[in-house]
This record gives sequence, C-alpha cells and structure tokens, in this order.
Amino acid sequence: MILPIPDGAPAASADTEDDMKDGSDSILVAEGVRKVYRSGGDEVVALHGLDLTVPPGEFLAVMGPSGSGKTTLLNCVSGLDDIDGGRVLVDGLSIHELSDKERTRHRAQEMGFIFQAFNLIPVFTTTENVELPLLLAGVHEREARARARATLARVGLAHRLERRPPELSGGEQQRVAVARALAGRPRIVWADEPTGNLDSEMAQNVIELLGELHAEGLTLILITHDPTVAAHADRLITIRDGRLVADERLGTGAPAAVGAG
Amino acid sequence: MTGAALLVSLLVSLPFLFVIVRRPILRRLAVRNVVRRPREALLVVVGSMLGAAIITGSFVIGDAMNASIRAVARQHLGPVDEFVLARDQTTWDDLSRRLRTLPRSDVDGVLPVSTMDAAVTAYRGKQITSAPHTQVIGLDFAQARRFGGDPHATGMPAQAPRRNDVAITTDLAKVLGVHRGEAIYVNAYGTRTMLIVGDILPRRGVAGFSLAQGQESRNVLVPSWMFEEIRGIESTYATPPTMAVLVSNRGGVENGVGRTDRVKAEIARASRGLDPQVIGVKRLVLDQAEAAGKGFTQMFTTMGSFGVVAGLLLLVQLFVMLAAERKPELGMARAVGMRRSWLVGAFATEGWMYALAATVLGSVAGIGLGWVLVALSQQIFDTKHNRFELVFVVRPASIGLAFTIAFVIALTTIVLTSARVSRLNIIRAIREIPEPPPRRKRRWLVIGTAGAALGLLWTMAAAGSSEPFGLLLGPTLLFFGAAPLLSRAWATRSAVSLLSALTAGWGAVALAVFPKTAEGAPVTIYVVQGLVLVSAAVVFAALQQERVGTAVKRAGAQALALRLGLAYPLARRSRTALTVSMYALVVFILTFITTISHMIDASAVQAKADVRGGYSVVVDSSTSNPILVSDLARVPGVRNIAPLARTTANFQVEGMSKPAFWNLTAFDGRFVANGAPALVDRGKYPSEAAAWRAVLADPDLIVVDPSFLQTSGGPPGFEAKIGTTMTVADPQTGRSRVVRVAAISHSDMFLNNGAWYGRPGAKALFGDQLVAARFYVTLQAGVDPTAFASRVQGRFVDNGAEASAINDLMDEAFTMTNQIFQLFEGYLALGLLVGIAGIAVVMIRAVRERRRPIGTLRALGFPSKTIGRSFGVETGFIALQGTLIGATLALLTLYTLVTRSDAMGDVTFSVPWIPLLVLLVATVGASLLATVAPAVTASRIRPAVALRTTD
Repeated sequence: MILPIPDGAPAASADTEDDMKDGSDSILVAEGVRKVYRSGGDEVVALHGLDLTVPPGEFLAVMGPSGSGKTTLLNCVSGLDDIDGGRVLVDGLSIHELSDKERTRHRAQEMGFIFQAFNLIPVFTTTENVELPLLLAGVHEREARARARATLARVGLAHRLERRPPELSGGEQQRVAVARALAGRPRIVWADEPTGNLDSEMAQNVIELLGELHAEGLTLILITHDPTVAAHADRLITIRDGRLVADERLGTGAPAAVGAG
Repeated sequence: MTGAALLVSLLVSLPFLFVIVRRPILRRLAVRNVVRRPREALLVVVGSMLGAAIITGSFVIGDAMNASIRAVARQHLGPVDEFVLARDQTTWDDLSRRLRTLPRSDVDGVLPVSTMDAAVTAYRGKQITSAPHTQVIGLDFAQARRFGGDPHATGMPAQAPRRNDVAITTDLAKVLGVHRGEAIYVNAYGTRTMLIVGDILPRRGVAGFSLAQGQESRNVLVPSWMFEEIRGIESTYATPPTMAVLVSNRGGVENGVGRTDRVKAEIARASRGLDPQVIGVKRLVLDQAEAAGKGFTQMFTTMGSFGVVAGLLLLVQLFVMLAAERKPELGMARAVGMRRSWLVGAFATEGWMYALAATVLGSVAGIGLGWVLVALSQQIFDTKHNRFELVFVVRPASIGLAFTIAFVIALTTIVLTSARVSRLNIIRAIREIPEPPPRRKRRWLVIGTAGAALGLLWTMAAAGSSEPFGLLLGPTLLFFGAAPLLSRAWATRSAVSLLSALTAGWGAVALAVFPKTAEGAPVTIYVVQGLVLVSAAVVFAALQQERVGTAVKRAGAQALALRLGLAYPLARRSRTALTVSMYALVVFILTFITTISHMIDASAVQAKADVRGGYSVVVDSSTSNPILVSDLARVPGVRNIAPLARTTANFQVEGMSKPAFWNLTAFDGRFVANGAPALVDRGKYPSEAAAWRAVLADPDLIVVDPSFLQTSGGPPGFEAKIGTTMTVADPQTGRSRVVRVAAISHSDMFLNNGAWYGRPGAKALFGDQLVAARFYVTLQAGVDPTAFASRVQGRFVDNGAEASAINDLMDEAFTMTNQIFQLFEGYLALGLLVGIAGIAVVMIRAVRERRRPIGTLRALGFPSKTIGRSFGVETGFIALQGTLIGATLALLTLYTLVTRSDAMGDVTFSVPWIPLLVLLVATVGASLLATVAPAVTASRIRPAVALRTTD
C-alpha cells in the first residue's frame, strides 16, 4: 500500500480510502476513544470514551492534572498507541484501522512531534536530526539537508548545525525538536509539554515560535500544565480522570466542540 | 597445589565476601542487579566464560601430554632408573658383578641385560607377518621379576617360560598376529631361529623395556643362554648386541628418580676403570614429560590468549554499558550519601558474582574442550610412522590453577573497570548529561613523558642486544608516552592518530627490521606483536571513524538504516573500539596461523625435492641383519644405491651441562655422487656438492639441519649456524671428537637422519656400532617409488626391511603438520565465539539503552524494518572493520617476516585467499545472525511504550 506525499490532501490508499475516510472537514475526529492499561491483573482506564474534533489550522491546548490522561490522549489520537475502543480519523482516515506500516508512513508524512524531554537522537548532529523526517518522506539527501538547515536557521540555530544534542542547552535542544517537527511540513504537530523542561525565557521563545507557525496555518495540538502557555492557544480542553471536563474557545469563553463521552 | 590455587581464589574473594556479609545495602544492590534481568545476566556469564574454558582446555591438553609420556615411562621403564651401557662383553660381566655391590639404601635392583635389533616374522597359513625392528632382550627371568621390589611393575611373569619357549610383548603379538604356543622366527646376524611363544606380557616395566622413540614395545624376552644362541656368529657388517645393566632406585617407579644423581655417582665409583656410559633414563623421560606438558599448555595458552583478551574486552564493554544504563541510579545513590568506594564495591561485587559463575562454568566447559583437543590430537599423532597414544586426564591441581588464573584475571578486569565507571559527576549522572571531554592534566604529561623516556631507553637497549620484546614494546611505550606531550602542540586527535599509526607500522615491521631477533624469538613474541599491532590499529581506526563513516554514508546516503546503523558506532568511538578489538585480535591470530599453514603447504613440493635430492626411496633394515647392497641392487628397477649408517650419538654444544642424544647418519662418496639432498646454507663452499664432499673428506666437519638439538637437550634458543662447534661422541665407548658445522641441510622430518657425517670419520668414532642398514635408492625411469618400496619390503622380510617412497614419508609429515594447524585454527576459532557472543550481548544491551531514541524514531515515522536493519548495519560495520584490521595486520606482519627474515624458514609468502574469504564471510555472517534476535526486539518496540517508559 502506497501513501502519496501530501499536497494539502490527506493521504490514504485507494483500497482503504472509501472505507476509512469520513466526509467531515475536521482534520482530527476522535469518537468514543477508550484506552485501558493492564498491569498484572489490574486494569486502569486511562480514557473513558473521549470525543474530540479539531478543525484544520486550530491551535488546541490540552490541560489537566498529572495522571489525567493528557499524554495518553496524544498517543492515542496521533496513532502512536493502540486504542481499546472508539475510532480516530485524521484527515478523514481511520488511523487505527491501518497496519503498523501504513500508520508509520502516515505519521512520517502528516505529523510532527515535539516531546517534553526533546527526544533528539543523541548520536546525530542537529542537522541530521532535522533532516530525518525529510529523508523518511523520500526527499533527496541534498534537498533534505538544505531544508533542514533552513528550518534550523528559522528557529535560530544556524550556528549550531553540526553540534550533537548533548552539546546544546535545553532551549536549543527543544528548538531543534521544533525544527524536526516542522521540517517535513506536516499537517498536524503534536507537542507534549514542549516547555516542561525549559526555564521561563526559553519556554516563551519556544511558544512564540509555535505561535508563528500556527499563524502560518499549522494545526497544533499542545499538552501543557502551564496556563500561560495554554493561553496562546485558540481553544483549550481540560481532561480529568480520562474524561474531557471542559472545552472552551480562548478569547470568547464560549464552549467549542464536543464534551466528554 | 589445588589447595594453594583455591586459597588464592578465596583470598581475592574476601573483600567481596565481606561486602556480602557486612554491607547489606551493597549486597542488595549487587544481588538485585544480577537477578533483575536474569537472561542478560546469563548472557554476561556465557560471554565471559570462554576465557576460563580456553585456559582450562590448555591445561588439560598439557596434562594429557605429560601423563601420556609418564605412561611411557611406566610402560617402557617401570622400575628402571639408570641404564648402564658397557663398552663390550668383557666389561659387561665385570660391570654386572661390581654393580651388585651398590648400596641397598639407594638401589633396590640391578639387572644385567643384553639386547639386539632383529626382524621377527611369523606365518599364518600362507601369509607372512613381520615386525622389522624388534628388540630381543636376554635376561634372567627370575631376577627380572625381583628387580625393583615390585613384581607387578616389572611386567614379568611369575614363572619363566618353559625351556626353549620365549615371552613376547602384546605389541609384538598384535603385529605378528601370534598367540601362545605358536612359532615366531627371529632373524639376526645372518641366522634364523625358530622360537615358541610361551607367554605374552604386557607393555610394562622390564617386559616393555625400550629406549626407542614411539609408544610400542615390540620385545622378545629370552633367557641369557638363548640370547647367546640367537646371537650366533657376529658379522662384521652387523651392529653387535648392546650389553647393559639396568639399575632401579629405591622409591618406586616415579619417586625413585629423586636418587638419580646419587646413584649415578655410586655407579661411577663402583665401575671405576670400566668407563660405562650411565644414563638416567627415567629422569630423561620424566623431564621430557614435564617439558612436553608445559610446552603444550604454553602453546595452547599462548594462542588462546587472544581469545582470553577478547573475553576481557567483552567484560569491560559490558560493565561500561551497565554503568551507562544505570548512570542516573548511580548519581542518585551518590546524591543520597553513598560513597564512591561503596559504588565500586557494589559494582565489583556484582562482577564478582558474574566472574565466579563464568569461571566455574568455563572450567567445566574447558574440561570438555580439553577432551575434544585430546581426541583430535590423538588422531593427528596416530600416523603410520609416528604412533603415540594420548591419555585424557583431569588433574585437580591443573584445573584449580586454571580456575585461579581465569578468576583472578576476570576479577582484576572487573575491579579496575568498576573503579573507572564509578567515577562520575552526580548532577551530570542524574540528569544524564554526557561527561565533558577530559581536561588535560599535568599528571598525564609527567607520566607520559616519563614513559616515553623509558620507552626510548628500552628501545636502545633492546636494539643493542636484539631483544625482541624490548624492540616491540620499547617504541610502543615511546610513541604512546609522547601523546600527552605532542597533544600540547597539536590537536589531540591528529597527535594520537600519528603516534598510533607509527606504533602499528613499527609493530608490523620491527621483527623484519631486526631479522636475527625474530629467528630465535619465543612464540609469545607473536602474542605481544598481535596485541601491539591490533591496539595501535584500533586506536587509529577509532580516531578515523568519522572519515570511514562519511565514506560509507556517501555510498548510501539515502539508506536510512545505513545512516542510523553507523550513527552509534561512529559516535561512541571507545565502545566501538573495544568491540572492534575483540574481532581484530582473534582474526589476527587466525589469519596468521591459516596463512602460515597455507605457505607451508605451498612449500611442500619444493621441500620434498630438497630433502629427496637425487633419490626416490629410503630402505631401512635391521642393524643385526642388514640388507647387503649387492642383494638390494638385484631388485628390478634399482639404478643406484647409497648405503647410510645411522646411529645415535652424544652431542654437546656450548651452554649444555651434559650431552644430548641425537641421530647421526654417516655417508660415503656414493651418496654425494647420486645427488645428495639440497642445503639451506652451503657455507663457504662454491656448490652444494663441494660442501658435501668437504664434509666427507674432513672428519672435523658436519652437516646439521635447522632443528638440530632444538627438541631435546639443546640450550634454550639454540640454533646451529655455520661454524658452530660441538663435541660428538659414541655413547658406548665415550670416544669423542670436536666438529664444526660446515653446512645446514633441510629438516627431513620423518626421515630422521639427524646430523650428516662422513663415513671415514664416523667409523673411527663409532667402530663396529656403525653399520650400513639404511639405503637411499635412485630408480630407473618409469619405476613407481611406492610400488618399488612395497616390493623391497616383501623381499627382505628377514632383514627387517622397511621401505618407503621419500615423497610418501614427506607427505605424511606434511599431512600431520597440516592437521596440527587445523587443530590450532579450530581452537582459535573459539575466540571468534567471544566476538560473536560479545556483539550479541552488546546489541541486546543496546536495544535496552536506546529504547527511547528508538521510540522517537518510530514516532517520527521510521519503519520497524529500518530499525531492525540498522542493528544489522551496525554489527556488520563493526565485525567487518575488526575482521579487516586483523586480517590485514596479520598478512602485513607475515609478509615482512617472510621476506625480510629467516624466522619462517624456506617458505614463500602467499595469501590463502579462499580460506581468508571464508573466514571473513563466516565471521561477519555469524555476527549478523547473532544480531537477529536483538534487531527483531528493537523493531518491535512500540513508540508510545518506549516514550512513556525509560525501562
């Protein structure tokens, strides 16, 4: 099964397109998403049939106390983890019905990730880290390198191109992670506590950078503990004990979409 | 010995036992880290046990050799400690009488014996069976049984055979296919005597008495009066019988040897005026057993040391990885107040447990390995002309010693590594921040400069005295010692690259630049050379990893698996260097041995021609009943015959406290005229024939081969050269002459001619003992040497003829040499298991260590197969590098040795391309196979799980 490189349209194979696509205009639709963790004989329900819809170009912030299920939500709706119930449509494509190989390719072409712990590959240089998603998408090495360098320049790291992550500060590492998430020109960027390991000044820099990217039309789903970070979003949802307890459009105070399932 | 060895193991274990008993926290840390991941703990143990197995196996094969030769002492000598050789019949009678007066406090047996070499035949229907070289021993049966006070040890029967009957040994009965009551025919001194077998005796003590090489005792034991009858009329063309007296020291079969010196002195006193030759035969054999056992142990340990070092590198690697994985835990432990010494203690105690388990298991595996080595060696040594039975024995003392050596080596490595990995910065450890590059310390500058100065002095001293270890290690110390100093003026990487390249270059050519050093160097020099070369080359390669990586990546930039697979080994140079070293070390010695074996094999055709000279067949016959030249000449197909007289002589060169036995073959003009063997060095003579003629004409000259006195009795490191002088003597009469080496011949292996000496000089020295019983024969065109040899053997059965095509004898020797090399190769290949097991363990740990990056890559969209393949790339890159470094260095070293020195003899340098290719492909292939399991595990890591958890 071949998934084409995106050109604005969601990717899907001819075989599965009809079965898996939804007619909605939303870039992300989560319906009744349920996730259970099992450890020994114990079961912990992390998501209780959660519903969520995100239109293209939205900057969505997800807040909630520790253990509320924020990261689980990100993992499940981005396709990093399997779900135990419900379905997730990304650009109309039911991602959990895809094989691991298809889902992996879909991630490579449609999504970018930013993690709290940066998660850069320590043995690659900054340039190599950033060009990885491009090479995955089949971009030629020379072009990938040029685009990686341009993206790094954009995040203010033109002077750190050949450094390895351990040689960079936390803020610089997170900017590399941002560059890596953006280099492949994804449709959605998932950011899990991107400022969690940074001091306030660095956190502000990163958030401003994300804000600029969002302004250019990028869909951004950001998990945070920090209300000041969340305040930059268009919309804020709050999760508690695996349930969506609040959904508000920032600036208007009005409820935005679907509530908890 | 076992107790002492185990006591050492216990002593070195005391600090760890103290930690286990008195430091509950450290004990808990150590034990829980072991049981936390039992599968990986098992892998660590299995990966580390091979060193102990190799050391134990080396001891077992050495013990087998020692025990086998000791068995020969029991079988061939039993109670016999001294062999007193009378000059003739008259002195023998007198000697026998006088030796009966030897003090009873030291001697518990004196037995006069006379022996002759005879051909014995038997008839089984129309079939004739023959035993060419049989010893007929004349003695008093009753006296022989009492000899030494232990009748069982003599092997003699309780009752002497009936009158006119004789006793024979089981070995002879087997060869002839005869039983009690059947007839045998003894052919000696031109007569044939029919005897009836009255008893068949074991190969033991007096019954099995033999001073000949080989393990069989083909004896006919007859009463003295019958011996005289068989002896008949001595011919001037036959060697007279040997008249001797056997002496048994008090103390039993083995312990009596302690009285040898005293008893020899007493024999000399008692026999004053008769001048007999007194030979402490038991001590000679037991010394030979000890030396052969130690030699075998040393040879296998020396070669196995590459595998042992590879195993130690694996241990270091594993501990470095364990420390890296546990860094945050270690940092936290230090943060909450644990002293660094405690960390070392916990780590080392964990390592002690691994070392103990690995050494115990390795020792058991080593006993099995030793058994396999003994079984394979037995097959190799059991050839037509060289029968030797190896006995598999397990001596607790040796196992204890091997255990202690392996245990102490492993433990030392573990403690040093633990001390190194426990040195950490608390904050950096907790936050998993990499350690900054080490600062330049003045201390290293001082140590380095002192080392360089020491290296320079050592080099100068070694160059002056041609001492091989100093020539290799002196410059190595000089170069590496200079690194801190040179790094001050130059970038460290460039400085160390240059110095390591210089060290590797010097390591490869040192023995060739000083060729004389290599010629007499011990085998261990090649271990040192291998270690120096591989270490330097791996350091150089480690510093050039990025260049290597860039080149490889350029070839396949788009391949993500290639990029990812190279990223880790290129970024973690020290770890990569450790693994590459493991491969390089083992492949170095394997290539070395394989190539030498190949070169020797390739030299066989020329070697056969050199040894053969103008001759095709060698015919041996009984010295008491030799074939007459005129009879041999009548055999169809004969063109020319060169009669040769072979005897055992006493040789003594400077540096020897007592003479040693070595064969001497006397030749005459016919030998030279028909084409004498080629010479390695003809000295000052214009041609080889001129050299042979000079030796024939001048009794002060002799020809020896390169192995002369090297395998028995010669001074350590002795090598005969043109001009070397020595005393050659008749062991029976004591007549001697000082001779000088005029030329060096080729080693003739199973032909065993020993030194070549002109017949006139030999006759003057050895008198009647010298009889032409060996013949070199040239054949008419078209006559097949093998078929001819078979015909001669059938025609001259009564003369004890043993005929062989010289090419066949040489082929047999080359086959044996080849098989020995194959055994070595198989043994050395065990070292490869260390490398392969090592890479498997390293990769399994790497999967754990890289869980989070793998999760990230999978999140970014890396296909699972690409992750798996990247592990294959990494393994292939490391294994290929190590293999290429090892093979290239070995070939380079051998090339310089072969082309620049005589250390390797007459071989021509050539590369066994196909075996080397097989070695390379098999090594890399096996390593890739070993990586399959961790690669599959890595590819199955689910991104969300890897990102959520750190363990």
